[in-house]
Amino acid sequence: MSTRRLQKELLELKNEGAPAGIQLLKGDDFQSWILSIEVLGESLYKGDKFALEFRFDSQYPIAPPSVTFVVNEQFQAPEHPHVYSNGHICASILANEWSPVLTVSAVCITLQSMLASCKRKERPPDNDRYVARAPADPRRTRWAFHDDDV
Amino acid sequence: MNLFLEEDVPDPTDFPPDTNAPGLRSLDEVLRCTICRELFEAPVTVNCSHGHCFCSLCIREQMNTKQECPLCRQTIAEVYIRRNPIVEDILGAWKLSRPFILKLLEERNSSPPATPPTHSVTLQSIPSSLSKRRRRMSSSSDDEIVELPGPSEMRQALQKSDVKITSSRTSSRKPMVQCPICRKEMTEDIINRHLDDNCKPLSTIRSPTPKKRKIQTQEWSRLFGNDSFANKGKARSKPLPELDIKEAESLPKMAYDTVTAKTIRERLSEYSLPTEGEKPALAARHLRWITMFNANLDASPSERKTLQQLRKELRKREENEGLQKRRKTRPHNVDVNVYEKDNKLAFAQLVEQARPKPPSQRPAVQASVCDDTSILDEVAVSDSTEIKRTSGSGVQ
Ligand SMILES: [Zn+2]
Ligand SMILES: [Zn+2]
Ligand SMILES: [Zn+2]
Repeated sequence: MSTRRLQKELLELKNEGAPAGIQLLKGDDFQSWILSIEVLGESLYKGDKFALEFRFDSQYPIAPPSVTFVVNEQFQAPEHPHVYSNGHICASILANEWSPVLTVSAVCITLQSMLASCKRKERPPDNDRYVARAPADPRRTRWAFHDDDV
Repeated sequence: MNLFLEEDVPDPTDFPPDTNAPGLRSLDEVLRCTICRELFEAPVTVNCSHGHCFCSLCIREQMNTKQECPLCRQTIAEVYIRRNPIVEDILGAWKLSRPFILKLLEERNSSPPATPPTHSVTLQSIPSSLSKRRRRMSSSSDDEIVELPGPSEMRQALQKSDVKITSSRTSSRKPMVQCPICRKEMTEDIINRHLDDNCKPLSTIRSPTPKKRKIQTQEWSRLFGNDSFANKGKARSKPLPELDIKEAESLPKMAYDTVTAKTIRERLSEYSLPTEGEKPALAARHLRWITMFNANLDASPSERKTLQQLRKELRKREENEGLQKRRKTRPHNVDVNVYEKDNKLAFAQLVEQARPKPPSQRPAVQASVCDDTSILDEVAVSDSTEIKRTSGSGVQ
């Protein structure tokens, strides 16, 4: 299903434009897209521009995409209590609360609002510990759900 | 712009906005599944209070992961999935009229506005059966006469889909329960027997009375022409004669962590499916087959795919996944083992799902990793309890 669904999303982004503050930087295959994201209006991140990388597999959209903030010479991960310095995001909609009706642009909007509502710029309390042992794909991280040890 | 957009991807924006063509874009949008964004295929309604509608295959695949309505997050169950024949019929007609209307719109745009209104739009490429009748279409700008399919053509399209509902879906009014092992839904009176029989297919035990049971078993043999379930000792069953998909009954899932690879191979070979690979790959294949098979039964009998078509689809999907995995893992030298290794994660999930769980136990977010995920939940469903697509019928 993934390729047709992604084609449709891409078409929509191009035809109707990305939501305000969001821009498609790379979307030329079915494996990975990069979108830039800015928080509009007053916020702790005013004037900052971040980039999100989406990676898809054939299970998309039944399975969530793998979504991380790009960390390289050009972009940094926002300093936020749910964002690790390696770009991994602790967001329930990317894990157990994912729904297949969500889209790339819906995820961007959600993360944009997450940044917009931030009260204090800080890393998650376990940032160093997590980053030291984090898997490459954040979807392999067990975001500590209770029934994992059943 | 780039290569992969060149393929034709039908989309609601093929239609002009409401100001130019009232209602058409929304019509094309509401007839699409919110999971795959295609026009509904075998549309079904789930048992959330909104009666949300999806393609049968889309929602069944989703429900292999989570028993929750993707749009409103209410708990739903496979046993309550209902065909939606009226939507299927509407789609039958819409698939006929969609290209036709698009052509009309195109011609309306290309013809000068001064065209005399009494002169009908030329429709060479439209099959003659579609342009028998003329009708006036009220249009915001002028009263151009256009040709639309008449009621007889509509009826023809609709007749294609037989609205007869399979008896298995409506006959039982008894309370339904879900088997905690194989997750197959069944009436209360047979659950114990089903459990005693290690989740045997229901058809063999559908009725608790011995006499009827015999009839049912014969029915099973008639459909599948083989008593393989009686001869459990055999290492491998022969492929069963092709069953008539129009009369088929839904298949039960298996408790993949409690059965052996051999058992899964047996079931696969009964449907002439490949039996190579180890248990994780076999289980993934079997689950996918069951899901596709059962979804296919939610189409009206005349619209159903043959088993041969289903098999082809299954193969194609396995191949696509193989391709994707290959790209990710090693560029060369990909063999069955790699495929299986990659399937192990999926298999672990299957096993996890198959385990009985108290219904109230929902994954709760622990505070340790990330303090306040509730903020995200609010954001995700901020405006209403429903997740809405962002597109809507906006202005271009
Ligand atoms: Zn669908
Ligand atoms: Zn719902
Ligand atoms: Zn009725």
